[in-house]
Amino acid sequence: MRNNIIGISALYHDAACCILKEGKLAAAAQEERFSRIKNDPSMPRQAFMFCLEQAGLTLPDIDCVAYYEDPAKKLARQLWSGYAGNSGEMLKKLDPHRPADEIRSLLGYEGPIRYYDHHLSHAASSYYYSGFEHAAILTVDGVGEWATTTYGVGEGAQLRLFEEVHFPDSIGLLYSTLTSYLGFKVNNGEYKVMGLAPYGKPVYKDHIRKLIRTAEGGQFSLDLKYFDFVAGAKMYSPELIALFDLPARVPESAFESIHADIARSLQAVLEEVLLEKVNYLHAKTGAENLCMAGGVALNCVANGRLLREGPFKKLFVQPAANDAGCALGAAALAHLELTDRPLPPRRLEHVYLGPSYDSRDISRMLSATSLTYRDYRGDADELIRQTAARLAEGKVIGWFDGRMEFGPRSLGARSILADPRDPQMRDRVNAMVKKREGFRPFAPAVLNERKSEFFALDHDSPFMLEVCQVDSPIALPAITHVDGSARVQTVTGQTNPRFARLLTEFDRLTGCPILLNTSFNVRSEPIVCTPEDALNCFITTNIDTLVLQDFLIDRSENNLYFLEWLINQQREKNQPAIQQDVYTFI
Amino acid sequence: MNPMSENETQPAASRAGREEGNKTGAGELDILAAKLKARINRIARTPGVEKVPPAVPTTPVGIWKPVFEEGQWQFVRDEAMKNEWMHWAGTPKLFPKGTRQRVVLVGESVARGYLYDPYFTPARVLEHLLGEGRSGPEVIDLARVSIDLNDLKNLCAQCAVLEPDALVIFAGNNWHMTLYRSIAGKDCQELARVNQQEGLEAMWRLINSRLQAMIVDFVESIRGQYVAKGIPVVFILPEFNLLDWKSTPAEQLITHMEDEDTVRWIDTYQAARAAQAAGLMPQAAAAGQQLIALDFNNPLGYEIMAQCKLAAGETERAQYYLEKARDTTLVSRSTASQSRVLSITRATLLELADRYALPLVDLPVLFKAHLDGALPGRRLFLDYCHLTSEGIGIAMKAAATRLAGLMQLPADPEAVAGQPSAEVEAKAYFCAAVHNAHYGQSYDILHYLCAYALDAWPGIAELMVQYVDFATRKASNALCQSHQALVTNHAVENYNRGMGFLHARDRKLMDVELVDAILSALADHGVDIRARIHALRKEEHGIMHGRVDLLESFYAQTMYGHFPGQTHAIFQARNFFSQFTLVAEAGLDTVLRLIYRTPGRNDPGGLVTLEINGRHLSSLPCSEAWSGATVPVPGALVQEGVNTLTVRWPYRSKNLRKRAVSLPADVGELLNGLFEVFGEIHQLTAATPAPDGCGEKTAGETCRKCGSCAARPA
Repeated sequence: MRNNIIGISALYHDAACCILKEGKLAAAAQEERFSRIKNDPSMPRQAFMFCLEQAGLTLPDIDCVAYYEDPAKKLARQLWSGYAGNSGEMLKKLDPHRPADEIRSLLGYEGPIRYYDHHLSHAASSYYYSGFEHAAILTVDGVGEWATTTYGVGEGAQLRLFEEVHFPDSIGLLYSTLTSYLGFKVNNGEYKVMGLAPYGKPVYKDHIRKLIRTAEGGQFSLDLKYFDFVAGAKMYSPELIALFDLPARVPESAFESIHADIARSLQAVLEEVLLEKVNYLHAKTGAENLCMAGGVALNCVANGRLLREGPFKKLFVQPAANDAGCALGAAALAHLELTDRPLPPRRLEHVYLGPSYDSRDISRMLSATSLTYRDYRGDADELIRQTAARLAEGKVIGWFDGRMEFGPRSLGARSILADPRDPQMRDRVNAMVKKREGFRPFAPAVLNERKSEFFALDHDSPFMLEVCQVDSPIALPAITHVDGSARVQTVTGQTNPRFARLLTEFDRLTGCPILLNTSFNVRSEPIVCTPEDALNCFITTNIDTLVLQDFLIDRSENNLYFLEWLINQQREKNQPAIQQDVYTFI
Repeated sequence: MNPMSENETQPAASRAGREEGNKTGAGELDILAAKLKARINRIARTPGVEKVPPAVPTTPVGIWKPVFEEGQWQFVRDEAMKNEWMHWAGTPKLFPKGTRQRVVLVGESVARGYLYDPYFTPARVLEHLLGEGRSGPEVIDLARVSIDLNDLKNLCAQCAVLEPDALVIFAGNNWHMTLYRSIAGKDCQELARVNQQEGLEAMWRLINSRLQAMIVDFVESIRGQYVAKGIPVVFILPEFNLLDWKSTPAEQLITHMEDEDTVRWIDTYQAARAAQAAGLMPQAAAAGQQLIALDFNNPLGYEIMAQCKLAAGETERAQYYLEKARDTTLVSRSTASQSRVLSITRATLLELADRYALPLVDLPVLFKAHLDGALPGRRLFLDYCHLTSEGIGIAMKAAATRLAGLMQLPADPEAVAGQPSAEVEAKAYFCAAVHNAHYGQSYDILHYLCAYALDAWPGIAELMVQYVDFATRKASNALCQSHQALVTNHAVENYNRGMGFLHARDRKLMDVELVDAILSALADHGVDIRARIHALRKEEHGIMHGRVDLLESFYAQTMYGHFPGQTHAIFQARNFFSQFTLVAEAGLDTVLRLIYRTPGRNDPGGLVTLEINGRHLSSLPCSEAWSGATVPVPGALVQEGVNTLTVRWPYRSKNLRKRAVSLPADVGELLNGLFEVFGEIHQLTAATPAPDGCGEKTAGETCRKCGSCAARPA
């Protein structure tokens, strides 16, 4: 029997689509990469068409669309929160039929649609792709329908959630509230708070503990007098300002030590609460493995601590642990229902699930330009040698190769790469392209077989979702955070052969099998998707060299000033990023 | 303590006004304040009298922000608004008023002299006509491309600080678009309710009344800010290119009607076109009248009537129908419906001008007189509303005459509007050709504009050669070397400072008609690059190099803009036929892969018909659900280069699915309910036939050998 399933998450935060073709994850992508609207929540039209194209399928071939939450349950929570009104826009946003209507009308899909609870989709997105036969499951995010945290267990084909914490008690919203208070955008700046934390001292833990009280089992509660998100106007109340005796930080203003102290205290409490709850979960399930998902599972610092200090032997975090990844979970649940069997128990080995581009098309594009470039088609060895040599010289490389990653991390397909040994490199990369806050660390990519020589890491970390201590014979200042930690990606030749070869060649030249690896985008834009996106990003930043699959372009050989101006003019025609001051509950 | 306290410096009149407080109305206070300011200015200009420090300007004027420099307040272009600069005059600074009288010109792109700007602008022509060389008034150019009515109102309020002696408002083309932008969810619901309960004409009346109210509000604000203070205001009412601007395919979408009316409309339309082609004008006119009776909201009926009337020499009646056709954009079908002054706008402004004795230059009347009663067309217009240099000269001459009377300037009936150089004229016409093409105009006018440009200045050929190169490539224009060459070194300063050649992401067109028009005009002028560009077109777009997705913008769209409803992942046909461009080599066997459906149109006899270059290819059954078909195209039917694939959708149905009546949340949903969908396409590709053993033979799966089958490898 045919079995092709589309998974969709949309209309809330980060819209995404995936396709399971005969039980195999053939493609997955976030809509933002195509629409170029960061965090685009709209029904993923282009990601949907890409998934079909990539799988070699068409609409009539699809047996089921699996949607990642239950709109009716969500409406109940929205109404409870006081969202109402008869304006057209509000009615549209609250309409529980909207997902189905848009799947029918905008995507043109005619077949059955199955709905799965938000946190069940999160749970499935981790468990069914973990390769574990038996695992405890913890999902933690802002809010789904009602649940904000769930506890569950997976055994064989069966996945069961046995306890929930309900809105408005939410660890995710606690983190987002402090994110907003510290002057960052909600749903976007949480990882900045995590990066800021090591610069501070946990002197405000008692204050944070006033915001959240843990309770029996998996339960906890927020003291709502400090929060205002239920009303939806802003995240925090005046009581929070009074608690810290400090006005909220104005976005883009200078940081003071107290901001770092608050971030550190928040991070510490988060880790303590999570540790307490995973101990509870372990006691309840007796499992050796833990699967995590939800936005909070992207907190790689907490993940590292849970693995080090928690009761579980193994941890799997689905790389797109935010709402985008729910598409994978919903699809897996539908697969189980349709076929009576789970996905083959294979661990997700890589997330190179997005589009790739033909070198002939790239060649044609480049030939239309005035750029001076080198063509290494048929000579990948030389391309690797040339690239590694530039990295060793201290050049910053835009690296575009193969299928785009799914999830928020660049893992060697759409990456900016640099020498991690250079003490100035972090500032250089920030100044020339990332333009982001100087306190935020960059991450390393290391050859898997060499990881233990440089990091306190004894297992694979292919998705850059775990933090460990740097324990290296050579100084790695560009990727070592202020507390001596690093968020490591381990690279193997099996999943990304060209990237592994580049690391090998860089090692041969320098004795360092590690590269600084950060996402290939500029601030407030999504990670590049197409060769043109990559070229535009290269031209409008100061990246030294662009490796565009089989082609290499050096900035030093090109005068890009006028092109930069033109591309910036063209960007004006595109829409701005979606940024929020308040968590979107509708 | 300040030696000059407030009380000491306040003139008696001002103190009296303040003391009387509520006894004095706001309007009177404004008049008093204006008189006071005028007196201070006079004192300031008198030698030997200490200059009174001017008031601190607090608000910007358009893109110019106030700064205190060189001992005075002046306005400089705001760096923070740099992305706006290209839409305004290139004036770096606006200085305080000096000894010359001052006229401020505000308005839309037509007042900017779009397509000539910055080489040649209405403001400069006006200044010249007002006696620039004889110490006549200076003209401050505050026209902005695409300014809407709200922003225009704000700008008029802002520019009072420049102390104009007269204000010229050359606008009206964008005002109905302002209305659309202001429509919120509850407005959509009201419009939908009116449409459902009282019909489309009632909805039109409601939209008209709202537009009217906005115009009245604007004029009242101008009266309060200027007229009441004795500052003359001259309105210039724009005209539309009635004769040569045709409604575009995107504007001709068929309004949702009862089943039988839809069928009758399409049958009648086809009959009208057949009658026109046969020269049977009475039959065509009868059909045209039927089309209007069936759907007053579609421009095609009016355009057919106008063509019939023109053929009969009935210019007045033709004008009536062309104005009606123009006005159908009131309920917009396309984001690319271009600026135009609607009948309601003109009528409202004329009525207000008459009521309040406001000076007004009525370009429709003026142009008609200038053309001895003929309809305005390409002689006075570069496109839908932007004027040729001749049109600008006529408009500004009339404005200068009105201003001279109002400002008591010495009359100079012999003054002649300046002319742009041949090079500027050529660049304006060439950019007009590009603009016309991107907004749906056909080969005839494109070729005329290109030929005119080449006749005016042969040097334009070099720019045209660059254009056809980057237009033919798939890479975004901004990246193309030939585009770079076109806009560097100030080769093209007009057309949004050369940025008019840029396009939105994933919306690049192949520009077949435009490129062919340019190539033909170039060849006529001794520059024959047709072979090179045709070869490039095949290299970039030809199916010989692999499977081509005909739903990409290059092949599925011939103009910018799209239906303003929701964006779909699938292709929606909102007309009874759809056309796609396919590039191939002559005689090349081709395979089309089509996945389509015709929701609600499942009349047993209904067929989806495919044609290539007007020759029948295949007839496929209607299908409520998605249905796939592989259609071979014999090489004998395939032309060298560009081929046109037409999909004709069935429209006869006794089973048309009724649209769900629901409240629209936004304009997109409102319009979705107003216009038909005849068919939908999920996939349409063209490729060379797969060799034996390739994936095409395995249920639409991938061809891993030839790369030309239905899908890529997973």
